[in-house]
Amino acid sequence: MTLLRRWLAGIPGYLWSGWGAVASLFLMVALWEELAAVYGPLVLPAPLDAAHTLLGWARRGGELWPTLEITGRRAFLGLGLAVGAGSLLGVVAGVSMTASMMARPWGTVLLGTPPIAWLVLAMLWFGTGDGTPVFTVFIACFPIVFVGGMQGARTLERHWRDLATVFELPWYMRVLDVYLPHVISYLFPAWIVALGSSWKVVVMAELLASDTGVGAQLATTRAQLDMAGTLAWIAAIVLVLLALEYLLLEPIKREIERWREGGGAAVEGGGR
Amino acid sequence: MGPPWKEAGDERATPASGEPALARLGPREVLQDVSLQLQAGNTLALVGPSGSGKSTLLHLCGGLLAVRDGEVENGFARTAMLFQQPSLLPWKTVIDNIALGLKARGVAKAGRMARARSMALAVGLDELALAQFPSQLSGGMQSRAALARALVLEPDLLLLDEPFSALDIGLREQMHRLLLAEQERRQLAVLMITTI
Amino acid sequence: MNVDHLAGVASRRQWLVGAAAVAGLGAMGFTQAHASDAVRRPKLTLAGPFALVSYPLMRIVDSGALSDVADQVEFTTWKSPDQLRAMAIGQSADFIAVPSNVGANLYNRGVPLKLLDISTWALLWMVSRDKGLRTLADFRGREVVMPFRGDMPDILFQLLAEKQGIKVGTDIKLRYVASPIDAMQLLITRRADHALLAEPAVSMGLRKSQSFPVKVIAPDLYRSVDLQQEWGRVFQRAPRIPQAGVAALKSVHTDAKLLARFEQEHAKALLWCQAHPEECGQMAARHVSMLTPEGVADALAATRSTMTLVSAAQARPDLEFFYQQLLDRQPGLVGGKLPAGDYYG
Repeated sequence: MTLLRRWLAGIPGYLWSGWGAVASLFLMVALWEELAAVYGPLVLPAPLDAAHTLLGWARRGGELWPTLEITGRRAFLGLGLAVGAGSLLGVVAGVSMTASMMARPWGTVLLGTPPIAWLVLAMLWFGTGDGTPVFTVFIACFPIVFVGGMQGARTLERHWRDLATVFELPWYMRVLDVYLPHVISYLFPAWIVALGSSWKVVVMAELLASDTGVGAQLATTRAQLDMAGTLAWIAAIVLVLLALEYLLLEPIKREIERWREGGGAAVEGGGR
Repeated sequence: MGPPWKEAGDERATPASGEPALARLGPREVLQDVSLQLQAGNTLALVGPSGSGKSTLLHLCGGLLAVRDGEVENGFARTAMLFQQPSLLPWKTVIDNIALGLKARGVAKAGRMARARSMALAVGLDELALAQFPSQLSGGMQSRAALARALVLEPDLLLLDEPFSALDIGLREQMHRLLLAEQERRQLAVLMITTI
Repeated sequence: MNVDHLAGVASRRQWLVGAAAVAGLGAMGFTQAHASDAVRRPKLTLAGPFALVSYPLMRIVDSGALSDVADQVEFTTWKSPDQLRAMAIGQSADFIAVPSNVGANLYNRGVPLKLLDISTWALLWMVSRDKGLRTLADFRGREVVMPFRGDMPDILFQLLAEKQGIKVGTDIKLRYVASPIDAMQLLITRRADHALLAEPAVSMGLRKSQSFPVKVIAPDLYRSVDLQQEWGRVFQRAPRIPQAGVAALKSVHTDAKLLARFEQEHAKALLWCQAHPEECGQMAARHVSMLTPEGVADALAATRSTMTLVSAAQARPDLEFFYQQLLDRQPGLVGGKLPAGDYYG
């Protein structure tokens, strides 16, 4: 709960400190505009055209929000399954030495297989509904979380276990105060990576195998040679991802990093 | 005054089997034919070159390793231990760390926070330090916090595994003085490893 | 289609071709085409998809018909909208065969081009396991497999159905697949009974299902409802839809002499293809490995009366009607508006 309170309290300061990031983004847009002027609207429409298109979709209450909702639903469903199964199974695998050894090559294989290979299979099994994108996202994100969980469980250092023994910590304190925070410190970065992955993979899956959602809309604008529309959809996805990462996750990450890296110079307090 | 505790007879101390984390398998003789006795209120120092098994003996006494041959009898009511590294939980604030043992014993929050705070002040940590995370403190302050964590439990036996070796002379003397004061106060027995 | 209709159309076709040639030349300000007047170019590239519209172009290349205006004439295919866009923007093609709505789309998006003619007036047929289905209404209560969701055939089908009072989604169910090949797969493996396809996929698919070894497992498939006839019936117009033609791109679209010369040869090549379907089939299969000679020959036979060369100016009323229908339902297909006058070459 302290975490939640701190997160909420930190938001104003955090937003203010975001000026640097915003300025950098605007630089990116300026570069885009330059290139658009060089190449012409058929290759790269100007940012304003794409923005205009995007705003048009948003205003009319037309395609933007329902489409994002569909894509978001699939992404989060797949991500949720991957996070749940991956965290649990990863920790379980990490606890057992045998399971760890057996699971490592699986993790490598799953991580190395491009999601598009799974997409072909998924299309055969699930058709063009929700199932295909959700499955593909799950397959893409599961190994990331699994490996994180496994690492977390395996690296619990000796001296904390000794600590727990010496101070006679009851089992619930062992789990809540020692094991869980340690494992989560490995899992949380994995969750963040999985989140980014889930959005990229869901759009790719929808592009090739779906009739609805952002990916399907991308396929249509591409077929109709509508460059401004294509870029507008891409911008929509990127903006959603940026919002998720920087408004939601970054503050939590920073809070966690505080105790991890000792944020800032060591303090020599009074009392000498 | 508690009964003396001893270990007698031929003893071979090896890493117990069933500890999956240790890579050492098979008996590697670390200790042989060791026995010692410590009485309440006394201090016993284990001195020796590195690798002579001092740390292993201490871990045996703390109940962290299983004895292969022989016995360890610990008649003291409460034992506390300080390790070579402060081993503070990084995700808890300093004061929560100090209160850890008390929480394990079931002491209510207000009570344990108050006791932790007073012990922290006794070892020289101020309010600012208490609210921070261990990684934000210097090595010396972390050691002090670890000491506070042990002492706040009011142990009868304190096991020290060279906890102050990383500190400078002045600080080390400060810690020793704290220990002596505590001993005077409460008949604390101390078993410590030291290289000098 | 009955025989009388064919005969009447055949003679009308010949008249049309002749008229188009004269009209086209007249519109460009020439009464005679002088081969020697056109500026000689080092290379001319003709591009097109796998469809019927490209076969005359392949013939032009093979027969060396334009060798008087260019040292080298070659044919290349475009297989995806990205490739098409790249060719249209870059310099890699001079004449490009395109679906008529794609031509308008490119023009409206600022690609400098002129539509020269429409050569393909019929493309879309239903393929079905049932022999007796005559109009779209006969498909009530059934499921139709549709490749390329949201593309021109899909829009046309929905348009024609709704004009007849058939509700798509409830009266007729549409099942979307990624490509005509997938649609054919579903038909052959009996997982679907009806599909909407375009030539030459229709002919190729029918051929395949009648040939060994596929015919062992495949059911009997028939060429069913002719969407062009439906179009004519529903809109009270001639049963023809301006489907595809050739456009001149940036490098050539101002060279009036070259365009005239090209149209001459285009007309001749088209007549040759119609008169020699087997050889045309073999030629097409040589250029594009995916096509089979028999399939192509069948496709040419099926479209005998509807592959006629009409200049863009002459086809303009039909085109604008067609574009307007698409605009009303899916404006992105034509680029949002009707193209301006100088689109029609």
